[in-house]
Amino acid sequence: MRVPLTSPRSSRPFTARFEYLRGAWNALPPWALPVALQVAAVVFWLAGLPMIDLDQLDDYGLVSQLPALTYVALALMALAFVLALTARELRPALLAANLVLLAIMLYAITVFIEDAPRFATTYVHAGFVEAIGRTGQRFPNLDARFDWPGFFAMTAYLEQVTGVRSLDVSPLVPVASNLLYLPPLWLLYRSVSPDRRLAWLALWVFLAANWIGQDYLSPQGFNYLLYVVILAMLVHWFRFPDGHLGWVDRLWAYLIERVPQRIPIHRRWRTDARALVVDGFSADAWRPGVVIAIAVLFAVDVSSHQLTPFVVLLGTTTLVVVSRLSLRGLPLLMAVMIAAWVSYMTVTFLAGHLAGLLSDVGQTDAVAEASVGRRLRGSEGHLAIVYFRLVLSLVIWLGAAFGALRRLWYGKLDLITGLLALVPFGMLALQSYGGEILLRVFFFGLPFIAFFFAAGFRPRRGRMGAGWTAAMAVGLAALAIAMPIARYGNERADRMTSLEIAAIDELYQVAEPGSLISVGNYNSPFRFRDTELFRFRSLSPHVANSDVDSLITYMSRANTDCYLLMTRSMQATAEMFIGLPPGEWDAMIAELRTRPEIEVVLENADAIVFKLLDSSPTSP
Amino acid sequence: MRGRREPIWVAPLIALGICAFVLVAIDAGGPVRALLVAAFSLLGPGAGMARALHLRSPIEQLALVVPFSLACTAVVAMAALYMGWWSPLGIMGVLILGTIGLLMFGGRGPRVAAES
Repeated sequence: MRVPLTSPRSSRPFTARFEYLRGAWNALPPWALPVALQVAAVVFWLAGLPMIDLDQLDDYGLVSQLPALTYVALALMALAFVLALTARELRPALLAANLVLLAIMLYAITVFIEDAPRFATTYVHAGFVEAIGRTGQRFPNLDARFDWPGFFAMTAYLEQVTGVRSLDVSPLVPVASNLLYLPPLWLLYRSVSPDRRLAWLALWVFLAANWIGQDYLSPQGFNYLLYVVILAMLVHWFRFPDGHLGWVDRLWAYLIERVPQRIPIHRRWRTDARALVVDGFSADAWRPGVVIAIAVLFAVDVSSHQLTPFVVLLGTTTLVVVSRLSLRGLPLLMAVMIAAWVSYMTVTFLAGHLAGLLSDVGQTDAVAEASVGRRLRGSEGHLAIVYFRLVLSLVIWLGAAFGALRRLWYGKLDLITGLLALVPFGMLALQSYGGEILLRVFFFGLPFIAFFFAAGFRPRRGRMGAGWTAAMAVGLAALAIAMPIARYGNERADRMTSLEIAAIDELYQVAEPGSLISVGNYNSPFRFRDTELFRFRSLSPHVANSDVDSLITYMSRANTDCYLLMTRSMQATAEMFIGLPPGEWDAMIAELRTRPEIEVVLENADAIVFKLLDSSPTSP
Repeated sequence: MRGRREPIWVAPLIALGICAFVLVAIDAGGPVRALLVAAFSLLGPGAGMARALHLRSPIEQLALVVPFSLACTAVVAMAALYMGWWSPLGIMGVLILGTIGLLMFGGRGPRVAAES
């Protein structure tokens, strides 16, 4: 007996019902599905948060605890964005909402799960801010960063007038910073391309690829904002007018003329020769005033951070050299400002570090070793994360190179974005920057790398094919999923706990000003207040060797009260980065407890403080 | 002759600055002070600069007002620090006066081609 395709109650055939469903689907407003996906993503993301057990974090970082729901949520956000981006009508509010939600999911996840601000350096910076606010003075002999006090002075002022401690709002700084980066980036992207969808896509890629983690409460996070703002203003207002052909354009046209006519791409490139000069939207403003504003922003940049002004100078000079900027005298002004600041305002720092600073110049091998080689050590989990970060960065760079080639194929020689993506590599020849220079190269190039990565999916205006749209959805989802794995890969060490802070707060109550506070290593939430009143020393080499005798000997040489602070985050650092075998830390603490020269003065589950009993000088 | 129309946000922004200054001067506590002072600190000086530069595009204003505000704050705070006159209230006073000046007189600078 044949089974009918229609139910007894309905006489409509199956195909008719399918048509009905398709009609209902078509009747939905085009924004409905992206909105539904975004809501689902938020629900999944929130549902995943309680499943994260921070006490179970291992050396792989947050990935060891992130539930599948979190990854599903990020993939849904990518899908929602792609649907909104490829819709017939572009809805800026929908795309902006997606960006804000993505920023919260990627940059604020630790706000929801951790009980204290993360990252030891945050506490150091908060300590500098507190010291300036309390004393109205700088302490360049204490730390070189006081010679570039712009960010700290600004934050100290804001802290005092709002009545809110910078440390208390510091967990929100990464998400706020990244959201602040987006509008100037939009201005920049729209100035180099008329394609709004490409600009939105590049913003999304920027958020999903910024795993570096330099956006916390720090001068570099603030100066990155100045960096993108200055470049955006320069490109927006001072690129040469459309149709102006510089020497690079004339060289390009000359080369194109020599491409045989029978090669198909010849015509496309030749046709677009004038369009090679950017064709973004025009801008009106009081331009002399804009130049003054750029100079003010750069002055703050110069006085706030050691590295960023050099990248701005390199970028500006490069754009002037290739005839893309009409402000030909600006690089000279910038160079003079940097030289003046470094010569007159950072004398304390230069006196002790000039030889060290110059020793890296031209030593690219040493810089590469410091940036990559020295990072390839530590525990197995940490090594896996380091390799993951290297591969992720390489994939992003290759994706950007592919996008640049696709743009070129369609006749777009993106000289401005292309050179600004490459300029940070010039820093490799100058400085190792404490082994961080490769990270900074990626960070400073990221706005432009994101542009080209996005262009890989969408090299020109017009409707995108289904294949490229699908590839874009997969690519964005993969990027968003990979980002927290790379960014929070050191979370076992980067996480600070309220118990650690409580112990250190109590130590500040107990210790007399002028005391020496020895620490297992510098990765701990100390120095967040009274930073100039105490002396701090890292005993990391002694800890790495589990050498309790030399540790006690070092402490006994202090001519003042001496404390030894050992915390959970220090233990994580020693095990992850230095390779201290599991169990060694606890054994060392147990041995320290037995030593008659010291006593335990404070203790909780995450921290222990010893005090040297006889602090009189015992040896020279 | 057509009169110049002031943007509607100029007066509220000046009022916000004055309220914030009073709250800091009387050392008021609580979230209201934090919110008002933060709002002025993030928007006020930058809005003044944006007005002085004749930035009329919303995206230009959105992109630049907060960075301008932070940069102005950093400049004044650093000047106070180096001159040994550290005073949050004094810094705020300078910023408010500068903001009011830019908001009231900044729009009267040279006119750009688009306006003429």
